[in-house]
Amino acid sequence: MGVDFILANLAMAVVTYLCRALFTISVSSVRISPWWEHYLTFIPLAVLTALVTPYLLLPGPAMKLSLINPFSLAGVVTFIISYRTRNLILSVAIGMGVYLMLGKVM
Amino acid sequence: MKDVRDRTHSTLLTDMRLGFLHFLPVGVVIFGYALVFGVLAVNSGLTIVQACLMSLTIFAGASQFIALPMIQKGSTIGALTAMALVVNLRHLLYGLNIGRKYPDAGTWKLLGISLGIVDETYAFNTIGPGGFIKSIPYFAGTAICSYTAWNVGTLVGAVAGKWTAALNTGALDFAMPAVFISMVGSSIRRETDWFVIGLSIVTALLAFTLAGGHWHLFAAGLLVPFVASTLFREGTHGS
Repeated sequence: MGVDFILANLAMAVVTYLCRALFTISVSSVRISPWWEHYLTFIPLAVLTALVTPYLLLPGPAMKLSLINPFSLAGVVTFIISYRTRNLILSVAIGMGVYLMLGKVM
Repeated sequence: MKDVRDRTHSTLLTDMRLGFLHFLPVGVVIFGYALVFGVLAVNSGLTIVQACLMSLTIFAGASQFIALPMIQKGSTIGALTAMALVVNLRHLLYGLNIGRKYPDAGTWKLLGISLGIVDETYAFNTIGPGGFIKSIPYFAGTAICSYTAWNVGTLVGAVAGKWTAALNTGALDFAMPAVFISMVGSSIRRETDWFVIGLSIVTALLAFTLAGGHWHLFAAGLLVPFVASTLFREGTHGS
């Protein structure tokens, strides 16, 4: 195992950890206004929606906008089931089943 | 005094165990992804030890996957570090929520749980099923499950990699998006949440198309909450 690989690995690990720890420790007990408290409550939903959007609407290596594809259709099914049942395992299992079926016919 | 200590110790272990068990379904999906990473790593020229070292020390799927072709092409340490920084900048946003979730935790505990902040544990412990449990041991349980799944998956994938170069990963393509979609769907409780989801989709599409990379997460993660909290004051939106 080369020294360069170990150094690169350590450097990547350190910057990744710094990104994780910086705000976690610096903002935990800081007093902020109700507006900012309210602001922070929206971040998880906004980030996670943004995280899945390219998977669903810009699928494949070409990354061209596509509203109807196996990802988006299975995504809609997963979303509806999770919203109605609040059951993570059930919605993921059915969503993956729908995705596999659509992958064969589309 | 001993009773109190025992009870505290027992609560700590119970919370950790619960976090681990509740997170297991997500852990299975992470294991599947790690399996693919292990296979790709050894087929990109890494040894089994190198593949495992990456997962043990970095523990960040996206940057590890991106690093493989870079290592194969002989990228410099600087280029790899810069890539890891850009790809993992989103964790700064995660820290905003995770840190404030445990206001009474000391610096050392927060430094400890920072080790376990990844996309899945963040989602699970903010808007997912663990969102209402404000216990550091519970978070630690989810993080241990995630870390174990990622590392065991990497090892199994790397060992099997030599024989499974043509592993069909089609079924896994949708697994991770499905987990996140499910957490988004099951977290909707306010009318405002629908607005946030809609605006996040549009913002992410625009930012991803214009800037690429992971910048769409920052565009949506910073801009959409600003618009939502400006338009909808607390208490004025439906529940």
